[in-house]
Amino acid sequence: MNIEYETGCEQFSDDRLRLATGVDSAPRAEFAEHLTECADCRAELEEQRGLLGALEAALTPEPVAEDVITRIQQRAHGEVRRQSAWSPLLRPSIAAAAALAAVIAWPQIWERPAVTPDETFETVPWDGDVTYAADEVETRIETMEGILQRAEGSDSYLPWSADDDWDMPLAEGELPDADTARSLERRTVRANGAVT
Amino acid sequence: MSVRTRDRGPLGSGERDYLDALVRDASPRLFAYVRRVFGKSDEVEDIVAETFCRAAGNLAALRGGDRPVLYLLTIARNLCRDRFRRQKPVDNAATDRLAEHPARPFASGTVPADDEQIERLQAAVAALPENLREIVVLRMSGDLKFEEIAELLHIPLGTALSRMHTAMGKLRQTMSVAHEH
Repeated sequence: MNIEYETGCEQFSDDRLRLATGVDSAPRAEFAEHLTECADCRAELEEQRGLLGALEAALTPEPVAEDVITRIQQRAHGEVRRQSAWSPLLRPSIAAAAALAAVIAWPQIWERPAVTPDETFETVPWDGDVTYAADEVETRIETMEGILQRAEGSDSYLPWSADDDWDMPLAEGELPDADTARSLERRTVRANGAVT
Repeated sequence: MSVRTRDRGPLGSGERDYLDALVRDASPRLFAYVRRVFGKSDEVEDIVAETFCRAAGNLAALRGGDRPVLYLLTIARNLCRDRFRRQKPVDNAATDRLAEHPARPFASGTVPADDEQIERLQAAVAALPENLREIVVLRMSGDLKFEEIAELLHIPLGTALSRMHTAMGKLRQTMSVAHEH
């Protein structure tokens, strides 16, 4: 882990700014001592003060025209008059209106279920041809029925071949037929490493 | 800044005088702040007037507080942010003005020597990012202390100072680069 410590003048950058901007009226003792020894820091401090002085000169607010001041004053007076005129009337009116609204709305709020089914599920209207949809379903059913019927008479629709060598387990007491017995015998010999 | 009780009664003569004096005293700083930070010159008067209207509705708080300008700047800032929320609050002409004149760097410890240099510096401030520009304008045009700026912007004092430091670095860079050209 690398830890970089501020050394030299860098560690006093905050002090310089605080002093230049007037946040600190006097430098801390450590910074004051450094300032007496460091010409770079003194120069930097002076440059910051110079920039701040320049900014102050450049950004001093300009006087506002007298007619603008008058317009703003009149508008503020008008606002106070408007609020004064409405305020005594509005306060009891607003209170009465709020009470009335509460009386009217309370039973509806109380009896209303938290969530109604209509609010829970959005119904999407079907504006298509219903006959067409029913025909489509019927066609697909017929297609599936045809596949199943053909599958009963032939294995061509099945996903596997009937010639595949299936090792179906024998039922208890059942003996394998001759071909299966020979196949099992060959596999057993191969497994034991004998040459057939 | 605490919120105090509202006083919406009709203005007495004392209150009227106070409000009028406040408009006269604080308007230049509010105009400078709104114009320099948000750069919407056609709406500045309306925003400043609206600021005083809002403040007039709570005159007791304004009179009771010891920093009415800070209170007004807070209202103005909220109004500007509401109004310009969907607009880009950048003075697009600032960069153009910056390129108009070659500038000389100001001497240490002195104020700008001439109008051209002042104009140049104003343009450099206008070209700063908004969060840096706002700090500079609040300090120089609003005449707020950094502690007050931090309170207004709801940021720590260290952050306000850090932004000022960054802004000054950018301004010095801009002025020196311009001088080299």
